[in-house]
Amino acid sequence: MKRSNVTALALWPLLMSGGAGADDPFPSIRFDFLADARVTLADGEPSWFKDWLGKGRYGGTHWAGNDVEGLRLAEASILAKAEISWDLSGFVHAKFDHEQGKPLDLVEAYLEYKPAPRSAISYEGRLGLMFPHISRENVGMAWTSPYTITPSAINSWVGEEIRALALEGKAKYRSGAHSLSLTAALFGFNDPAGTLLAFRGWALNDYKVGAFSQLPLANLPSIGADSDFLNKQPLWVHPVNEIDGRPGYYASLDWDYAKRLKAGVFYYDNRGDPEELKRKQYGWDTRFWNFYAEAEPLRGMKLISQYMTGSTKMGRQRYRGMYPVDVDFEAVFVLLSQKFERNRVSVRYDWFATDDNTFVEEDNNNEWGHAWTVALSREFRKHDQLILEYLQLDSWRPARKTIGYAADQEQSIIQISYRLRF
Amino acid sequence: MVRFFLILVLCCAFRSVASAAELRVSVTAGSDEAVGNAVISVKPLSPNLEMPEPVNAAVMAQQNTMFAPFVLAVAVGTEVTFPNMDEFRHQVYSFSKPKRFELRLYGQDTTNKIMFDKPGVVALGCNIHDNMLAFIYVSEHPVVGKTDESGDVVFSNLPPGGYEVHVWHPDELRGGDDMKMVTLRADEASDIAFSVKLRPVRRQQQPPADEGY
Repeated sequence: MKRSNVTALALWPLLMSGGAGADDPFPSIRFDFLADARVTLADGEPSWFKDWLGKGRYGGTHWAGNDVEGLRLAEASILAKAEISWDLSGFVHAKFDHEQGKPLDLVEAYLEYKPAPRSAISYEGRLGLMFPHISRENVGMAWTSPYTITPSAINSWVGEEIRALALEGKAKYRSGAHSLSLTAALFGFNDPAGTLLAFRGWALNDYKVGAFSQLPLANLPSIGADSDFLNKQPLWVHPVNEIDGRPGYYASLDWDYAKRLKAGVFYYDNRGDPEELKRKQYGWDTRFWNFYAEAEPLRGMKLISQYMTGSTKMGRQRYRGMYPVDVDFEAVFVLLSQKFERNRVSVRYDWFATDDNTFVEEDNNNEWGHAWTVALSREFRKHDQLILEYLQLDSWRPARKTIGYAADQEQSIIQISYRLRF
Repeated sequence: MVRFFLILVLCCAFRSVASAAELRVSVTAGSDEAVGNAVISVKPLSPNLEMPEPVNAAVMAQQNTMFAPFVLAVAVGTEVTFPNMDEFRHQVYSFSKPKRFELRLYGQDTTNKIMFDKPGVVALGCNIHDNMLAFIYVSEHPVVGKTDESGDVVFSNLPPGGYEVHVWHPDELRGGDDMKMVTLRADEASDIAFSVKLRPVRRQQQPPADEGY
């Protein structure tokens, strides 16, 4: 938790200097807690989280097939928002998860400067460790989705590998019911992003990585110390890491009409140096586009779609300038959700694929798959949520054959989640 | 002397009640959709008409992370107070031409007032809560009101005479009714129906996303 201490120290003088009138007691801190209790029933191949190639956070057992896991804690998050002045605030999100590399880890920690608009164009900025605004699903507290337990393939990957230690600026132009925002950021500490997409492929799970945690990779013949292909790639990835000292950037353009029609485009390039290897991690050259459209055609109804396309490269160039890993990736989803007072019904279709451009004989990272997700949820107390979700996954990945599974896999995962908030 | 004034006041009161006219306005859009939150302002054609005293105080509250009301219609020169009924901060702003301001509202402080001295539409937002949205329509006309959910508003106690009646709505498009003339007669009620054109996607103040953080 080194970084959070640094953040606290950085905030200290600001915390101490706030004026303290009766009507204006800055700074103030508000804490919120989220606990997610989970019961799961899954069949099919074992999860990538248990070092296999299964696409869910949960899966069958290696020998027995079906797996039922009784009530347990999927995550506990603590969120602190410090209002330092009217225009400046600080935000920290820490998460406890016994399956996480570091059981208690930092998800986000940033300062936000946001003065009230004085004209049709307003400006704001953020500095710190943050999620770039890619996901249209994870708009809930502690980066959860109000629609489903499990985010789409696209946003699952964002949660797993995308995090930026960034300086982000945003300009927003408002005219009547329209608003147009331009966001741009310089960032570091995200060079290994892409590792999971290449060696594991897409997945659908609600795990979001902590800044100091590692994620497992399956024991494939192409990686690990015993491999003759990429023996310097260990069987894990630490996504929030600076490898090559080169900053990356992202930018987005977002349009909003009366908060009921939204569309936007986002571009990310971590400008990683694929040949750089530090702390057992490569700098992956990962770039992608994310497009989205969102509408509220009827009261309480949401229609959300995202499309992502990109590429990632890694390793020392071999003959003809080819990188050992050079994978294009692509995914799309459409989500329809309807709220009926305290109840919500959501249905989502996901399609995803990766296309391996090099050394397929030695290291086959091709895949395609699709998934249906159906979720029913009900609110209890003030903001608690009980969600029942059915996830059906169907995918093809030839690399499974190297660890004793068929390339084609079908899988169903049923989950019940109770999100307790206080 | 006192008695004389009393009689005079009573006479005036009696006279104005006796000869007051009523104006009933209804606003619809498309095929008979009742339009609430439409602002109706009434302008006498003759400057000699004795209009009712304009109301020069109004309230725009913040409650449950919403503005209330969504549309507030006031006459020029009205002072609006912004009581914060929530137990947290609101940072209310407007960059609309008739009035640019920023109000930092903490606790249930009722002393925050803004004088709206220029006519026009003032869109309000809260810098902390993005869902909050409201409009203050500042009219240059002395009598102003807004339609209820069934699209109706009634003005009573108007002196008989000729009037321009104007309509405005936050989602109004060009091409619908804008203004109508009416002549009000003593002790009679007159009806005016406006048919306006509205955008297919309406602006509304959504309740705060309870998931939001």
